[in-house]
Amino acid sequence: MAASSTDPTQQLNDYIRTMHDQGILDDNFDQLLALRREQNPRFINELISMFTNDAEAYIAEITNALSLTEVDFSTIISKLHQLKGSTSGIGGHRMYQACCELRVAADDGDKDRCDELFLRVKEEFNTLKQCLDSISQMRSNIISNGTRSRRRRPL
Amino acid sequence: MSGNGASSSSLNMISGEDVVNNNLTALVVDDSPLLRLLHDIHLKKYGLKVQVAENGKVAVDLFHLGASFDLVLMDKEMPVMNGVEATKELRAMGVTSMIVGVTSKDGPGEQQAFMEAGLDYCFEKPLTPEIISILLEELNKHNKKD
Repeated sequence: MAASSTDPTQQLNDYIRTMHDQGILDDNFDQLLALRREQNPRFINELISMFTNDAEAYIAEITNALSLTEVDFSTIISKLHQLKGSTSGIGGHRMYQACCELRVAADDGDKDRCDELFLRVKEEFNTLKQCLDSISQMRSNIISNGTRSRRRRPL
Repeated sequence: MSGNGASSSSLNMISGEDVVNNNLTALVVDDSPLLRLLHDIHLKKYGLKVQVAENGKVAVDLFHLGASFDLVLMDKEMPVMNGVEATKELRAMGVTSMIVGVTSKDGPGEQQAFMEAGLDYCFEKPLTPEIISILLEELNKHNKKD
């Protein structure tokens, strides 16, 4: 068995690879990592935060629409489209798949199936959120350690 | 290259080198803030000047006000005015910008209906840097002919 790396960057890379292997992340996330924002090294963390906040809002709106006596499928479809778009942009593969399945049920106007599949969307969101939070934390530590190293350099 | 209905498969898969062009402008039309941001960043990496619009009506209004863009990235499903309606309206106005549709993965007929509205190309969202560089190469070739 290979020894685990203690290098924070290697640990982050290994973690991301594991998330790929589990289907939680896809190539779209790698595209984000490849983006360079020289002025803002915390760009990826901000993007993750943006996705999480938006997704929580969309999920709340879908929850409301599903809870109505007369289910508002139009709102569900609209918010689901936005949720799918954001999820695709961040590279959340399994969550995106769950959203696609829910979309079919919403198009069919099948409330019971929507309830069942929405549960899966929320589960996949929680999984993806935990994954992204971990990545965000690891990146913050790497950035902070990098800043401290530069400050220790002799003048 | 306006509304010729070309499919994405008709693009030449050539190198994206030397596509940085500071004279090109782009409009990103998408109701998703995250996707607007991503496409905005990707396009700016290639030196384009980028504006964003959150739905088709905002995009059409920009053109009505006299704005012009070399490239328009048009999402399909948007509130107020969707991408199909916006594309039809822009072509009816005589807009000759390269309009590239971006769609989600589901719906086999989704891209075809969108193409028929007057797109030049249509791809799944989000656009990758590779696709963007190929589109810019096509834009540069088109501009050289003019």
